Amino acid sequence: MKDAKKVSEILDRARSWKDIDLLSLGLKVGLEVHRELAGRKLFCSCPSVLSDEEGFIFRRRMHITRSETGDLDDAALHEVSKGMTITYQAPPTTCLVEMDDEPPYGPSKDALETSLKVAMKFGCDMVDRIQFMRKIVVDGSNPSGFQRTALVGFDGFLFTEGGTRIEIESLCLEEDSGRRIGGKDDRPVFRLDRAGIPELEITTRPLMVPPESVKEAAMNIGDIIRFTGRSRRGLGSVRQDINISIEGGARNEIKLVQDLSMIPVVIRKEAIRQALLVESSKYLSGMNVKENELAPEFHDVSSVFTSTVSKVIGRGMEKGGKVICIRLPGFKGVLGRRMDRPDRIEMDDKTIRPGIDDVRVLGPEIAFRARSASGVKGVFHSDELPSYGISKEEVEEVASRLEMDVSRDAFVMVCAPEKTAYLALEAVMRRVKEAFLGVPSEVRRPLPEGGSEFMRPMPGSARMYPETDIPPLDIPYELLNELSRDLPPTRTELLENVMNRFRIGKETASQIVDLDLVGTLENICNDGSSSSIAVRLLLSVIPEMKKGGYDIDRIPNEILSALVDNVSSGKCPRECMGDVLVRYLERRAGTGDDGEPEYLILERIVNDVSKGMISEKEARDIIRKVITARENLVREKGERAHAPLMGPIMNLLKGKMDGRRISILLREELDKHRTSIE
Amino acid sequence: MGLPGARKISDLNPGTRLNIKVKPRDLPYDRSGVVQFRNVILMDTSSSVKGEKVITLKLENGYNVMLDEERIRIDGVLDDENIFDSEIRDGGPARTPSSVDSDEELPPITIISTGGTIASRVDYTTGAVHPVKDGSEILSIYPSMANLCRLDVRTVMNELSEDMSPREWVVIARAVKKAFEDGARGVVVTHGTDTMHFTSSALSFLLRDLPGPVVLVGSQRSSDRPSSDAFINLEHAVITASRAVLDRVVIISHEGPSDGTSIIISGTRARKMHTSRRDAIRSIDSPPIGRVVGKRIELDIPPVRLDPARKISIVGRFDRTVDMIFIHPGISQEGLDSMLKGKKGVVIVGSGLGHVGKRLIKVLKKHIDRGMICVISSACIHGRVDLNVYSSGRNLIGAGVIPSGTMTPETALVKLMWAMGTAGSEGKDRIISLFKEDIAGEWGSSTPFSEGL
Ligand SMILES: [Zn+2]
Repeated sequence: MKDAKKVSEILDRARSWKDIDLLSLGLKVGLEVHRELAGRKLFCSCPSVLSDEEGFIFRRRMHITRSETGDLDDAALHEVSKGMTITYQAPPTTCLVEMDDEPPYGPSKDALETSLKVAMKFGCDMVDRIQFMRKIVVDGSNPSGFQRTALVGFDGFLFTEGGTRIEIESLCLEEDSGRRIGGKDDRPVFRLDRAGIPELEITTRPLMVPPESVKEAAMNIGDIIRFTGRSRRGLGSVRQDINISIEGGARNEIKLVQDLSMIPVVIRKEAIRQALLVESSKYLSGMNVKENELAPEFHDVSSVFTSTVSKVIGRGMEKGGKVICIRLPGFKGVLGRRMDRPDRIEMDDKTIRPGIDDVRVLGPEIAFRARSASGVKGVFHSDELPSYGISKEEVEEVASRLEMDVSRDAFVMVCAPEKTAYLALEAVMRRVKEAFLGVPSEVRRPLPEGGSEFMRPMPGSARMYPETDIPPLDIPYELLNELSRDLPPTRTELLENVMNRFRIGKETASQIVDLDLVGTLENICNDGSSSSIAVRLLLSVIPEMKKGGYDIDRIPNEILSALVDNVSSGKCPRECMGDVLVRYLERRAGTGDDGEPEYLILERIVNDVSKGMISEKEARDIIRKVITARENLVREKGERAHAPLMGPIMNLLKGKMDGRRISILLREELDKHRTSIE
Repeated sequence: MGLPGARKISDLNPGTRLNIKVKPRDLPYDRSGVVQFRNVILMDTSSSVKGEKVITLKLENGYNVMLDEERIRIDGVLDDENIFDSEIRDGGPARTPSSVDSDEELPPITIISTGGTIASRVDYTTGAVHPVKDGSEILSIYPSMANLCRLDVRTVMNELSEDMSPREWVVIARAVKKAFEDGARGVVVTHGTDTMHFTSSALSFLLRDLPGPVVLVGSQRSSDRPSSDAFINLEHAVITASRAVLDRVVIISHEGPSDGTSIIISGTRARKMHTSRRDAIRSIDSPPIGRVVGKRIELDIPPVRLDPARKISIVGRFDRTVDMIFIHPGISQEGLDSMLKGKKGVVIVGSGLGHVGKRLIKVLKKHIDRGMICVISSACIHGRVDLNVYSSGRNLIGAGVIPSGTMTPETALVKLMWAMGTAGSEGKDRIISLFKEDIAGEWGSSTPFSEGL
């Protein structure tokens, strides 16, 4: 392994895992941004919404399929070999198409046009006809066993806000899969509300940029889809798959990273995991392990544990389990390496570095593989023993039964029914062989702290064949030309536009953009002069009311717009906006629709409010008077005087100022008063 | 584009691997430069848009793209093997011989392959589904069958459901007879689902003294799909053929949308009731005669005794000069008259209890009087034909029609074809008495209530 030495040098130089210069490790990152579209589903007219209902429940089994090249690909085999029975929930928002009990309808025109607009925004080249493909997916998430997907555009680019040029390899329009609701690994439960929701998948070419720039690219790519106004919101509507490799390592795909801010951590931890595996493989290649030593040889060592105090083993054996062991030649110390422990593996006369916390390496990988192949939980390796109640004597006895060289070899031990144990240990052995080669190519599931664990082997690329139920679709120039008049902006473009049109600063503009309020702002703000009022309404008054539990969604934009006008023309005091809206909602709730035009209702409320209103200064004067009059109470109760004082103050100010505003003013005045006496 | 004499991509054989350069299509924005694709596979050159050839290429990432030919420049043909020349295209070679050595203790079962979705595989080039060329390929698709029984797969034809005709019914019947004579414990017939209920009726009338079950089975989703119902259907058919104590023709169908439980339907009571659902084939006006739950069989009919020594026979043949006419409000006297011209028999699918408009009864009577046999069935599918309730029904009886009870229109048609073919020159009375005889439960005794229709 020619790169291992370089990797070691880089790891050596770093004081902590956070210091390591990933680009010097030869980091390459490929990004896949997935974003769901709103509206109807891609191949039926069901709505693209999630459902709280289980709906109709049915069960299916998935079966081995030959992929296009005639070989069953590794990923498919891995899933099928688990012999899954899948439970599906079909809520009332779904139909026979999601259940795979009816052929698909033609693709949603809306989704198709959105995909073309986004592709054009990236300056992509495009196909002349769109052909949907079936991508085999046998994890059960899709009742058909495949996902329909089409490549729409290719070879585009994007400059991020920070100015990094991101090359787009392809843009695909695809259907989302069912939503995992629960169930065990071999008996998963999926809800079909999400199945068939259209989503765009945008794949970048390998990026050789710092992890922070990858995060920015993910955000900016997702933003362009969002700015079409056609993207779906809510949990799970955006996700990223991240392909990561370093020099001497191998491409690993971390699936379903939802939180953008985790992207840099995910990349860093994966790159370092690969670096450590590269290093381990170098160490192992120096151990002179012979090929024949790697044939799995199972040893039943149950008799060692007949009177064990280990609860895990004891319980397993009570249930008819056996303790089965295999020897791992040359592995002493290798399995136990965690990046947060100063492990002592001698390598080129150097000690392996300490202090890289929380990046898991071979031990956990082996345990994951065993678990995912067989479902066993009790997997132990000699580097972590004695522990779990397993004694030093028991460990030594196992080592001697295996006739292993304790200075060189390790063992892995499983407590499970015999057949299950063999399955688990065979999977362990496959992973062990890969350890000699370096980094296996895997699909991995992200863990909350940014690490990841094994999901399945990397699927081959040839697992697609044409979806013949959907005829290819022509994409004529005329259609592209028409759509090109309505392309979404980039984030930079939109920010500039918002800043100029509404004469607001970048930070405010970013807030408006991030909260998806550009459209609302356009609706309620009739000219640039009133934008500061509108921004205040959207970014402070309304969020405050939401916190107070008011149902803001019941206020139509025309009311907001009229309110902004009233404030802008001086008819309504700025600080009364919240009060006006509260009264509007009360009125709506109280009398229902009495046919009065909305603008008249608002006008009356504004008149009422502004007539009896007093200024903040006047209010503070009154509050201060009350506080002084109850000096003793304040002295005695301190800040808890707030509650008893609210009553008398409300009596004086009722109808002249919003109650919550009074409460805030009282708190402030109380604080002032108390500091003044101290 | 290209140099004179440069090869056009459509001159190459599909399956060729090559590197290409693609120049931009017409776009409403500027795009310069060409895009290189390495190691693509030429899939298809046969489609075109507005006279422009459109080339289908498979990219390295598995996606197919369809590009105008004039955008593509060949950037080197890779000298690898043409992937379509290898056996890959059909999903690999059939590795399993037509009969499998398995446990002598297991019951001997013959699978008669006739075609249809269940005996088809995908052409991964076009995605189109084609029938298997050889029944033995079924074993390579469904290898787990070998654990349930000793299998013998025989291909008698390769027809889609819609291409089946009475001639094929007889061919299948002879193949079933031969299979039992060769020692089969039970016979599975793989068949397309569209007309399977016609075939099951036909076999029910033809095959007598069955020594074991004849199980028809198909699938609604092709076997290339991981979700195909073919696997469980075939498994349940084989279980039924090898273990069920039955001496009749039955169909296996999903009980509901779930995999796991199948219903066993009597051959004369089955009908395909949905275009695409897995549980499309239902038992009409009679509960299923049993179920297969996992690997267990539950029968819901009086027990029979199987006699392996019983000598199976084929009784009768089919007359094809029989037709079926669906009565509707727009049908005219002249129209009906011309449809009936030359027919020796007809099944009229009437409305409601089996009614036909006054104006049409005259026409029917004219043809009945010249010797045509007219059977009345109902467009309701469910429920019994009864011509005594209303005067129009009584008028039909007066005209000489034969009501078909609770038979489905399809069963009535097959029965009439069989009765006419079997009676031969024996005349009308013989035909009617054969038609009225209950041969395989087609007349039923009563229609029990069932939830839903
Ligand atoms: Zn639907």
